[in-house]
Amino acid sequence: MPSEPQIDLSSIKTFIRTELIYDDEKDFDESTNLIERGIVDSMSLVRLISFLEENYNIQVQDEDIVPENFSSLNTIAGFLARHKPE
Amino acid sequence: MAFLLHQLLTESAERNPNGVAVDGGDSTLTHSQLDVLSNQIAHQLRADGVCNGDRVGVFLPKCARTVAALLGILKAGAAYVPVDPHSPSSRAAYVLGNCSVRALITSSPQLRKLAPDLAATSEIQSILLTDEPAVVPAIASLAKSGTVSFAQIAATQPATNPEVPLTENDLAYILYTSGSTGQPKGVMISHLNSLTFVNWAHAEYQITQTDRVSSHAPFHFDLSILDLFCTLKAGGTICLVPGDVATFPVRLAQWISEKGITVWYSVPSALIQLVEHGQLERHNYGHLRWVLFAGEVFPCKYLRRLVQQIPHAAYSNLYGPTETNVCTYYHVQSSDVAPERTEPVPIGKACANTEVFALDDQGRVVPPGHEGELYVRSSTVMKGYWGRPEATAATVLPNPLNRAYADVMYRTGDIVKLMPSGDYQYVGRRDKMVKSRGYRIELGEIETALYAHPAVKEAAVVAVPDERIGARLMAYVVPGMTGLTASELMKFCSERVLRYMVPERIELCDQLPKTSTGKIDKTTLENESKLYAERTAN
Repeated sequence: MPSEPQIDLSSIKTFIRTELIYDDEKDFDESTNLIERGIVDSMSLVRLISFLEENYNIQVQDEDIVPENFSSLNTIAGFLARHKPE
Repeated sequence: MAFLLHQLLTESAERNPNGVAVDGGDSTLTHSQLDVLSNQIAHQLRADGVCNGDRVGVFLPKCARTVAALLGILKAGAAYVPVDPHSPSSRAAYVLGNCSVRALITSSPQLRKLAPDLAATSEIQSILLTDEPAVVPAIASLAKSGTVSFAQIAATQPATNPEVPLTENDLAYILYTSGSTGQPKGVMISHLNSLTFVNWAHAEYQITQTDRVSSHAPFHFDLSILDLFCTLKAGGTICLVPGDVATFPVRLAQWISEKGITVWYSVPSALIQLVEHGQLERHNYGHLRWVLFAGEVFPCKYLRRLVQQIPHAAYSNLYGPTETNVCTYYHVQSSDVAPERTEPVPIGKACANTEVFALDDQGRVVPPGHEGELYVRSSTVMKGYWGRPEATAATVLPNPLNRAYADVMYRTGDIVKLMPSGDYQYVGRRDKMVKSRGYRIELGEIETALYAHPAVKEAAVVAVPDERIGARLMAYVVPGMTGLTASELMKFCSERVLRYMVPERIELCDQLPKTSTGKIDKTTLENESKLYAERTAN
């Protein structure tokens, strides 16, 4: 995603593959809707957010937990870029 | 007078034809539209060879058309078999093959997902697709009567009710639950079983035509029965919670408010998420009359916070295994959520047309103040497990208190305490079954899935109690050959069991601790897992 070059999505992708869906073949890319495809649900979302908080040194507030921020890898990248610690 | 579930819709379509029956977000059906579409689906199924007593699978995400599919199957005289739309294809195919469905209602993307495993279940005569794909998936050629889209059905089939002759003892649906021996069990529910519960709940919660009832539970989960059929009986509106709304607590709170939901029904874990992350104070829930919950224990501290945030609504705890629909209920009182209280609310007393009692080890009815296993007598008790007479005979037993004529009782496996008030309090399970987010999980089913891997020598799964979600699952595996990784096993497991059954951690070990009798020492593993769970608590 050219506008957010500083966010490395591959580690998030790896986390989703190895920790959430245990499937390294299921095909999804940066723009796949993770919710509609059943890749992320309410249970795994909690774990995804913990992972992001730990690895990107951010605090995710309840009001940030919306589809606009978490529906795809692209929206997650955008969210992380906006919330990067100074 | 309705003796069959789908007659509730026939009646509501007469009384309130233009009222919205299903609000599915982007798709909506009035009672009349739902009646007509389900009639047409029924005609199609009959034309494709579906006969009374046949099973028809439903492998679809939740939408208004899925509701029409369920009712169309009932009107065709068949039993519907809802399969988790996110189920691994092998498990979905197992369920469809186990009860040998005659037809399948699905969509082309869902059908493609099934493709690798569906060939084994070749008894499928016809496939009904909710969409109209440019290219029909090749797998559809399996169906002898071919494939037909909902658009074609709507254009060609009569709008009238096929009026298939049925009785209340005919099967309405089969819901699959986790089985301890490794394969899911199909709980067979008749029209009478279901309607006995529906009639009670409709009266107890006074559901009316103006009600907007949430549909949060998936259709393969028996909480959906109240959402669907009590609402149809009342001529009210079933409001399907969209998947992305259910995932995000802030959105869910907003949705409940904006949709003007009057009756909410879900597992407690969904409500706990709302309390913890939904920012409930940002909206008004003035329409909400009832908050109903079932499926698991609602820890008192979260229920107290919910009652404090939405004080005007009434709260009720419904209890019952899938095999009995709901058999007891309890209306929450303010003293139940008093500040110092920690004990969860009771499961309460028997519903109408139901008797429950607790028996001790000697089969004697326990007096107040004592614990025993809960038994249920009611016309809600299931017809049995599909194709599993031995499993049925182990839980649906002759009533020893009545030998004059055939009379059965269902053995729940739940240990309860009879309170002086006459209410029952849930204590725990007699066996190894655990619950996560209200879903029943037999640890044996997960262990069987792990053992299916050729490199697994020994496997044990333990559950750590968790007050938010019920249970967290951890697996311990001794590999029989080198090179096996935990992530490979996770993937293997996720292809065989439903997502909520995949252990959150699989630890590979050289050996498992054993008891003096040589059995795997689960207590030691449970203690190990508890330590891990404490370290990783959110």
